[in-house]
Amino acid sequence: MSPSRPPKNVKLKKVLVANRGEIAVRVIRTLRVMGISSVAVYSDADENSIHVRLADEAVHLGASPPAASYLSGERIIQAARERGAEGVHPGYGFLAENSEFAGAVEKAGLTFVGPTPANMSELGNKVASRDALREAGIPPVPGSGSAVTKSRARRLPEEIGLPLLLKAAAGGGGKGIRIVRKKKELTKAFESAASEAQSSFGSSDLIAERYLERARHVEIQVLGDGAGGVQLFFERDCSTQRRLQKLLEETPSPAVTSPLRERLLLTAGRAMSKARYRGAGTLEFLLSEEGELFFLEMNTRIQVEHPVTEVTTGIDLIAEQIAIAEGKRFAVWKNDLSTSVAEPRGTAMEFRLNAEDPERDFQPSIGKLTALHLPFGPRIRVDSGVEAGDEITPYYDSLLAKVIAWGPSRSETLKTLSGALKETRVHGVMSTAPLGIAVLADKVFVDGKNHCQYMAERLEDGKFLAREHAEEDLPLIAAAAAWLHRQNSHSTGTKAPVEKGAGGDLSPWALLQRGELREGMRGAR
Amino acid sequence: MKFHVTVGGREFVVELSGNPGGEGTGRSTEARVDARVVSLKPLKPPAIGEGPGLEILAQDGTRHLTVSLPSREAAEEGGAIRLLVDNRPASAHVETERDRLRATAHSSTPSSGSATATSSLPGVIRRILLEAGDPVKAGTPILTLEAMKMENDVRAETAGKVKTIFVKEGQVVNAGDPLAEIEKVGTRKES
Repeated sequence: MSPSRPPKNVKLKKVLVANRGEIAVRVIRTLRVMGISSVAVYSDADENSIHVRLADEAVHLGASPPAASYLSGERIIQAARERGAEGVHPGYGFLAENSEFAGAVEKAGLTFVGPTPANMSELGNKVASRDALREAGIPPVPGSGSAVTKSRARRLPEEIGLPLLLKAAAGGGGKGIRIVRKKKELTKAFESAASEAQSSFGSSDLIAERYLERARHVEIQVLGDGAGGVQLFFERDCSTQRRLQKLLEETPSPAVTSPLRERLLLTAGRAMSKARYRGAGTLEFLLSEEGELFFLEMNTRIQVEHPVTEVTTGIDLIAEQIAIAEGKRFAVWKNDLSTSVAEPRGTAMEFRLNAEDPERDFQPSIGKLTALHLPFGPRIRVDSGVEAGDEITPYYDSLLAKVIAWGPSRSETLKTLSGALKETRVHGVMSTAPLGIAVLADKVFVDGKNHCQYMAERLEDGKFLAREHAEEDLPLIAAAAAWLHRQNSHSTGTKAPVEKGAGGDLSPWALLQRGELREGMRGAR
Repeated sequence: MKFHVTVGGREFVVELSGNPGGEGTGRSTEARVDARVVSLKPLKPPAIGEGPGLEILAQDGTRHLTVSLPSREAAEEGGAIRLLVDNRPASAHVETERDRLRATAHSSTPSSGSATATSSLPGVIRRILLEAGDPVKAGTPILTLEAMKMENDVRAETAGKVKTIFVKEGQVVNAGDPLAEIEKVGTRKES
């Protein structure tokens, strides 16, 4: 258990936001509403980003790779001190779950807007958090717990059942993971997962757990005051994933019944109160097809999908994080949901508009955002950190914007979100918008029967994304010709597409007259 | 200009007139798809730079749809393109009439019976010296191309007769554009 900290009542006047993109913008907006000055940080690539412009002050951290900028804890703390910020908000990703960074921030006399370092190392640790949650009422996914040897691995089918998942102990991002469905596959899967783990993470250690097919991902948002008081929220369902990454999140879950919800909330309340958790966090669970609940892990930070909880409760979770850092207290947990759960109104869904190509296995798409139209309208909220003209670089995650819809019922929310995605335009890079439209029109999703493997299964059908088209799709046919015409009228004699024109008449003849093409041709000969 | 567009396994011939895909003009263009007319209007050009993004409002009389080519990655070698129609993916294959003819000529085996003379330089057609039906020997000048401030004769590579002249006097051509097709003597298949 973390040491109980004396209550402190500080009033933050200036906070450094140690992040970039949409979450930095999101935090800066709340700071402004609260009358707190904001300090943005940025890398070379982000010099002209929205988050830098929105903040009251900005500090350059270093080169574009995260290690030289957003992961440079020392530099960030130094920036906070130089600018007189009393607090540091880490956002998500980067240093948000790094207990050493949180400790260094507090050691420097600054307030870390997040959990205590002890909370982070206890609950962010998979083994310790599993014990805590089991004690509170929900067991972890059955598994080895610690790294397994190859000889022990042979006994795994008996110990934890099949199918099972072998995964890199040091891993993440889908690397070093193998699904074993038959006992005879085990040795080979173990060897290939271990070698992939070694090359990806520098450690061949593997852990094993039962693989729950067709399970749903549900999670509980919590706020803790560090003294045993908690505030809980209805579950979010994040079962629509690709390669173990969430794409669409909603609240409430279409699969969570009242008794299940009660069990989730009671477990979360007990565990968080006992741990004297401070700040915002999320407990993630798997809900099997048979209705069993298993604890997966805890995220000790604000999450990407927090807006669906905000729009259904009216509570600004970032403002709550700040208030907790300033000493806010909640009602002490007494196993009573009536006093500790925020009552939601209606339903919400969030879709992640990523710069990825859903038709090419979600490969990230980089380049200049030549045009961007994000949706507006009733019941729509958009959180974004990019604008037209921004360069989408390979250095950071591919999230362009989150499109969030609210509605009194799931079916209305679904239509609102679908309409918003149809209106969205992203030019210059490929985006996930077409995938969102397809999912929201898919019967399995509409009926609320989606699960964690649903998206992968659907995408095996090559026509899932494609629009149903008429026998003779005249507008499409005509536009294809118009595109080629434009392409050709922009190309030089070598038919290479002109990337950046000098403006004006770009016909080969005009270039020839100006002598530009002649130079090029001489070189080509 | 004529284009061959293949969608859903069917090929259509499209003829464009006006200013198709032109930027910033807002002027609409007519496309004849087989015998029917679609009106096309480029939407606002990409806000930043020239980019690959192109968005066209296409109206076929009963409905209008926004067709866009979102990014460079959406266009592949060989004319396969991935467009978004109201943000839903659709794929098409497109080539110009001239590319089609050139491809046919390039892939021609002796039995296909024709050779295409292409422009080796970008330039302007100054004079056309022959017309369809005229016999040629290897080396006979077909037309004169002005490029790099010099006039160059484009000559027949094989003996035969002129089947088609693809260009007009005064026309601007790119390197690689087909200029004329020569039907080879002796390999021609008489039906």
